[in-house]
Amino acid sequence: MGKRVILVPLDPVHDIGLKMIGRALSERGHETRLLQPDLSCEEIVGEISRYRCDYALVGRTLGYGVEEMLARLADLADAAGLRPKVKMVVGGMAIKPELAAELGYDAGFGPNTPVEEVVAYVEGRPYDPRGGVPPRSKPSLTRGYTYRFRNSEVEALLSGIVEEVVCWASGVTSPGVERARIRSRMFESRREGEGEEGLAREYERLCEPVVAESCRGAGVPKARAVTPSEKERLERRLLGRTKGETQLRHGRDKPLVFVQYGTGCPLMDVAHVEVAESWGADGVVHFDPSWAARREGLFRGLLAHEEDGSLITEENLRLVKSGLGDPTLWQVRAHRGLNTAETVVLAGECGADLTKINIAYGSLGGGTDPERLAADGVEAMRQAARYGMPFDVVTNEELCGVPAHKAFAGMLITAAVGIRLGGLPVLQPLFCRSPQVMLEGFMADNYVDFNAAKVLALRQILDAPIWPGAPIGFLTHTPDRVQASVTTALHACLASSLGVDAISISSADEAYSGGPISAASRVDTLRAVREGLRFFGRAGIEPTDRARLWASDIVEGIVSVLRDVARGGSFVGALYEGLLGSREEGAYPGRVGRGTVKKVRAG
Amino acid sequence: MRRVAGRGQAAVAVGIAGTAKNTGKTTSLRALMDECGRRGWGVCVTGIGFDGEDLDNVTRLPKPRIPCRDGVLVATALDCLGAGDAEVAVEHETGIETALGRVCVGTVRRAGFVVIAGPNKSSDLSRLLRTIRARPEPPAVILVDGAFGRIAPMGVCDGLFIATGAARNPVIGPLATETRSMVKVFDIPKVGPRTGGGDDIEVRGVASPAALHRLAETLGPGLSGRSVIVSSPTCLLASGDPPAIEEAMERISSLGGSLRVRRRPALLGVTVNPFFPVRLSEGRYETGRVDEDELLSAFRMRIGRPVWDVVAEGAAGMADAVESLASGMGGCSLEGEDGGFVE
Repeated sequence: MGKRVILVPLDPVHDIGLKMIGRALSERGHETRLLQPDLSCEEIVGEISRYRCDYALVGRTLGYGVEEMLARLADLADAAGLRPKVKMVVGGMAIKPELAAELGYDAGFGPNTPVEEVVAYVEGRPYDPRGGVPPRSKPSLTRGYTYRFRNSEVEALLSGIVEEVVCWASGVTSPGVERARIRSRMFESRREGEGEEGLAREYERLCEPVVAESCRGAGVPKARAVTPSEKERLERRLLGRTKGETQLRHGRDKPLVFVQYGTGCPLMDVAHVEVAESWGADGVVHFDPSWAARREGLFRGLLAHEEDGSLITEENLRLVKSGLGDPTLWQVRAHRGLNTAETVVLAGECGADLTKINIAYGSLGGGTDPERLAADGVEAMRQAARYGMPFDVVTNEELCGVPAHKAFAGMLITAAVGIRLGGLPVLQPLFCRSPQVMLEGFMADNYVDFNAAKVLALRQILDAPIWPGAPIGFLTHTPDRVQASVTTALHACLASSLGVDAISISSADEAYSGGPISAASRVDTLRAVREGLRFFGRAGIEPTDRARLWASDIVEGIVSVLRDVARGGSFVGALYEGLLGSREEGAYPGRVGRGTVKKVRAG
Repeated sequence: MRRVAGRGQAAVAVGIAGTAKNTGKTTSLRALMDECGRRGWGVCVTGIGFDGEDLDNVTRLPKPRIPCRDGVLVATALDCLGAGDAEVAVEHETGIETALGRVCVGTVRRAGFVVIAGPNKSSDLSRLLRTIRARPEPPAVILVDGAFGRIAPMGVCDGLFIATGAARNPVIGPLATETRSMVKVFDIPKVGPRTGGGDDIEVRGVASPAALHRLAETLGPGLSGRSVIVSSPTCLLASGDPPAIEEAMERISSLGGSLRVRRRPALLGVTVNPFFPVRLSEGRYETGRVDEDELLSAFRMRIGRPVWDVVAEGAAGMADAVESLASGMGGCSLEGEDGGFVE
């Protein structure tokens, strides 16, 4: 049955919202009447009374003294005996349900409220923000990609290099490889209800003393155990709540937007993840401290770390997982240390959707010995394939000064090994103002062409998903939160225009926070990206002709590097020799874990 | 300890109505809750706004939170239950809808802060009071926190405290004058057995000062010996400034008529707050204060009702006033556990 609705604009300028609602209500058969905007509270109450309406929708932008006027209007309507019959609703800028309750209204709607939500309220039915569309399901980054090479020369070169890597890896092992396998057997034992004690002792023998002691309940450096009451309070206040669905994209399915969390405290991580999800992030990335990645073995327990980066433990990961919304993609990075393979096992067991593995970056920019990370990286990719878990291959060595084509060659070798082992790699070029770019002047005119060239180059080589990171706009951010948000949004718009599959974005204070990242700064960039993607919709950004030329240069450079690696006959050797990034360029083969790779005894 | 009202007795409902934001409603409520606790009275707390948040919705200045001890009954909207750190065991949903969800009634099982958003209009507050009073063991006192300067819903309470202060007007003289006018509005007599007859004039709904003046204008001497009946003092106060209402009352009186109300909550006293927010620019405020002693002495000289600064004095006087009101309702008195209570 149609309702009688009176529309009360208290503000002569900002009544467009009420007009839109009025039109929607009329179209649905309700009777509406729009009052003029300059009536007194007494006159409005008189009109509400005479019109015998069911609803009075009051619209006003909050300003000095406006709350008092709105409160008085509600009070006057109450005194006039109208409230049992007339529902009073307030809407406008700065209106929240809390303020509506305080002012005496039955409901309050803030800015950007969909007209349909108000119509649903008037009709007394629940509002479905999806408009009948089924709930968002978990997206896939890799679906639809064939992983076929489009450049036959690159394919041929990689084929030889991959065989060499896989063959070499099958003849070696390391403490990290062994721990990953033991950890995997521990989970299997647990599933089958068998004891883990024997395996646990075997595991501890492969750990550094400080890690082994933590497995037996000792304290962990720079960390403390989360107390049961802290965990209980988190569970009571945060977990299990229905999450809102904010859509960042407008008119496009891509790119999925990832943010990185890693406050150090898993409880705070859950809160940060909830903020990110609430403001539209599609996925979150677990950021762990680099010092822990340089230890042999993973710590145990629900642990809060005193610096940024959240320790990778089974308990920490399971807590974060329990706070994640169903459609949210979850990546646990494994890429750069002595626990790479084991982290993949833990991530897979704890329900992660994605991981991150790259041998070249981890050993040239991440501090790990190339031989060790090659052995562990291959095992990590085997484990990732076993869990059906895609992994991105990052190229952060560009930030050290390695030219893009060399970083890409390393990425493509890792990706090709992954494909060979049945895995699903995702290519992660950086959208950044790298040292190479600064030295060569590639971004003297704009930030578009060189970033676009990277994507175009990779597409000429391989049919695989592309996920620029990490975060986009690296080295274009300043401590100014507005600037950092704008540059993030612009890089996101470029990514959207190029049709890439995903992006990682930073918070507005990430590069210069000088401490923990704030939730407000996280929202800054998510809001900025949303506005940027709304602005462009399906329209695009047109790179200049230089993008295509640079893309060709990058492909030629990649081919040249791969030729050199193939000619040398050893991928690990190429890493030490600087073929994938030299000391002069800023790439230094890492030393952590050196000498720990052992040949596997035959038989 | 006197935890509950007696069988067949109504729990006394006491509101704390402010004249503006930041006049000390929640501070007065907290002080009175503390005092009720000390005296062993069972308490239900609710409110007609949104209270207990740590920062003001508008000024972003800190606000007093609402601590609740074990056993206190709370009536608040569903969405607010998780906002405080007190553990509240929900006993039932009332069916009263608010902007923050349905109002629930529950008991505090672990002491802590609560956020209160109860029924925010007369009809819903009246329904909640009936619900609370219908409990097998109703609390002795139902405390209703106010919101902004809203007063209309408070008309369904048995008793009221007015919270006012420098946030309403930092100039003490006019503030005291206005409050004295409010007291006079609450002193308007109720309709007696012989009023409400054929010659009397019943004003339904809003009776603004302008409407009362128009009535006086129209009837002139014809008002002589007749009563003008309005529903309650709170309806009068919702429709105009107290001095304007007082002026209209005097005009009716000068024509030989009189103003009467159908029902009225007892005005139990006034609490004053010397604090006021100073607006610096859009969204930026700082705090200011007037002289507390001057404020108190001006009020005590002119108001004709008890006046308290609860921060300095506590709420013993307020609780005494509540006890006195309760003893006047059905002949019961609020007594401690050892003494039981008189039915």
